[in-house]
Amino acid sequence: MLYWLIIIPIIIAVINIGFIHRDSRNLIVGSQIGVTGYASYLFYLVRQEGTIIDNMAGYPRGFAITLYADRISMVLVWLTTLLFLGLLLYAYTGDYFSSQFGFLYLTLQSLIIGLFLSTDLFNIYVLLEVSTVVVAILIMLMKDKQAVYDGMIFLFVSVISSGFWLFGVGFLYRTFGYLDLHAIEEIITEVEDPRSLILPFAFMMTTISLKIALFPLSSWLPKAYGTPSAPPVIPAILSGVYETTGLYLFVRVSFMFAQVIELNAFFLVIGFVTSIVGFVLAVGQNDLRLLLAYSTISQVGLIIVGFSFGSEASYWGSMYHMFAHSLFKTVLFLSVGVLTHHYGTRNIHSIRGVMKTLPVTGFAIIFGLLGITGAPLFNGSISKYMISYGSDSPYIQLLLNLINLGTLVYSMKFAAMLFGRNTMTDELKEKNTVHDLPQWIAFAFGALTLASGIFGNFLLEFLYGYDFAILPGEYLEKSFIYLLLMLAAFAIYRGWVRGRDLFSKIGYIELSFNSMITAQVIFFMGLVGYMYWLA
Amino acid sequence: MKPLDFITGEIVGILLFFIGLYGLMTKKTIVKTIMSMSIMESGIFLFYITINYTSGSVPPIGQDLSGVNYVDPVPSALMITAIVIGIGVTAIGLTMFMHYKQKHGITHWSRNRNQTGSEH
Repeated sequence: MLYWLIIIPIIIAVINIGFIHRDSRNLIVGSQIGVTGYASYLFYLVRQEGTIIDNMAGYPRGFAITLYADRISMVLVWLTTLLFLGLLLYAYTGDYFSSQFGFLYLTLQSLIIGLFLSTDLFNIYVLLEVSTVVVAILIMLMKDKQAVYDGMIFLFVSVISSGFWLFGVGFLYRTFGYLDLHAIEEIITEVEDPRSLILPFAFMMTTISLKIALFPLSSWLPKAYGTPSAPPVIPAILSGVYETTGLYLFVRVSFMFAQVIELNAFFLVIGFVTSIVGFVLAVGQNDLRLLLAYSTISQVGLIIVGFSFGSEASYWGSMYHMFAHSLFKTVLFLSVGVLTHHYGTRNIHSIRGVMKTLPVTGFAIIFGLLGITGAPLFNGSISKYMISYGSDSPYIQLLLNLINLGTLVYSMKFAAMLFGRNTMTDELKEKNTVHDLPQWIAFAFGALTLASGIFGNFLLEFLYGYDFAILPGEYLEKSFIYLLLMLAAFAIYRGWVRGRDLFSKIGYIELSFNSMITAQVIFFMGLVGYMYWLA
Repeated sequence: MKPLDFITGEIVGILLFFIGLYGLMTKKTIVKTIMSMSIMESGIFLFYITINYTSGSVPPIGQDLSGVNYVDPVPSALMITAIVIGIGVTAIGLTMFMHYKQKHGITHWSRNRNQTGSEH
């Protein structure tokens, strides 16, 4: 039953490239609507009847390749299909939408759904590897110099990290004789010496940390997201969906090892560092896409922090933040695509007056920014509120507020585009229409950001079955803090950022290819050393 | 125990993996990066194939298996898949590299983004 979700996009992709020689866009859109509908139906089933487990080829559990859909994975699959449908409509009028693009797009969708559903560790390796290749080809779709270079870096760094995963799985298979996540989870306590699990854990976590771009391993991300010639839907997919696969694997794998290895403190620190480094670098960027890329790093750090508190509320808060992050990051990346199209530039300082010339996109950007900063009534506020439930320590609360302050500062920088004197040239103004489909798609996602905030409580219950009571008094207090932080951020922006001396120098710091691999090895060694020291 | 008994497939596999990693950390030529990646992958393949091997066991195909030790077939099956993927990735990497070299004449990783590759 579940396998149809993986097979249908592949079949349509093959039909599209192999058999149809005219315009196949309608076929692809139709298939996407079908897949989204089917995913909604499956989500309904999971809600009604509980987890769906599909053992391939009728082998017993533990030996078969198993597709496993519980609330968490099904919500993400559903979100994936929804985002892919929306992005496809966005891309519909784009000149890059060829049948080759359609093929890669549908294949990627199928692989990502596979990553969410599969519980077989080797299967996950295959899906990771193939999706890496597809994403790399999508990045260099236009084949210019920068795009090929960025694509190569992304491909090699990711493939090398998947090698770590494969090695880790080998160690696990050697110990347990199973490849299934849940089968290993059941017998993991029977291992004689817990130290023998340190190596596989470190190998697999290095891969995942690279996939989600935790601090020392995050240098590939701005390169992959910021490729100038890649169509705007590609960074939106990467940030909205592809990033989520890594976070999902993080949850699953740390859960698998949870009874033997628990590294919450380690990932708490790494999460905070990632988040802070992410926003500092984001403030330093002048390129819209790069700013959003670094902001993704910062948000991912926050999500990891939420997972590492070990409290239930913050765990589900992070889960909801994953959901919310997919939505508002999609809005922002799509809006940047619209702006680039209309203004012919991506430099943050040469775009002004968006509100007047493109009001629809302007409102989409406002919704997205209010979402990412956690403004009251928007989805970010609910998830950030829940994450802050994880700890009572005043230092941690201070750090969380610091992260939010950073988010506000780069959002201010972003929002400066909305106002001021219009800078769009008359030539471009005549060429493009003010209202087109891509703008409305971005706006629709913006509206979803607002809706998932207003109905946050209801959605949490609906999606994850987790009941969380938001106390009005505390929520008001948080809203008040938000306003204070906003004023502080405005002061910082006026005082330091606009002068762009200090931050723009920091913004250029990055690692070369060899240093990225070295960082990966150092991270791995550090993880192993830390765990031996604990044991 | 003879000294050579230490040299099992698993140990050699781990060594090859780290030799490959060393190459990736230190070599700035793109071709050498691709070669190091292949070395690293070979290490993993060797490791898998020799997992839980006991001497004297037989392959589990085409013969009577009653009363004999036979090799676990799963790792070999996995590695066939992994080898195929490895070849695919190497081929794509080489294709990208050749395209890049022929069009822009660049063979080395650069230090930062703004330079995008160097020719020395």
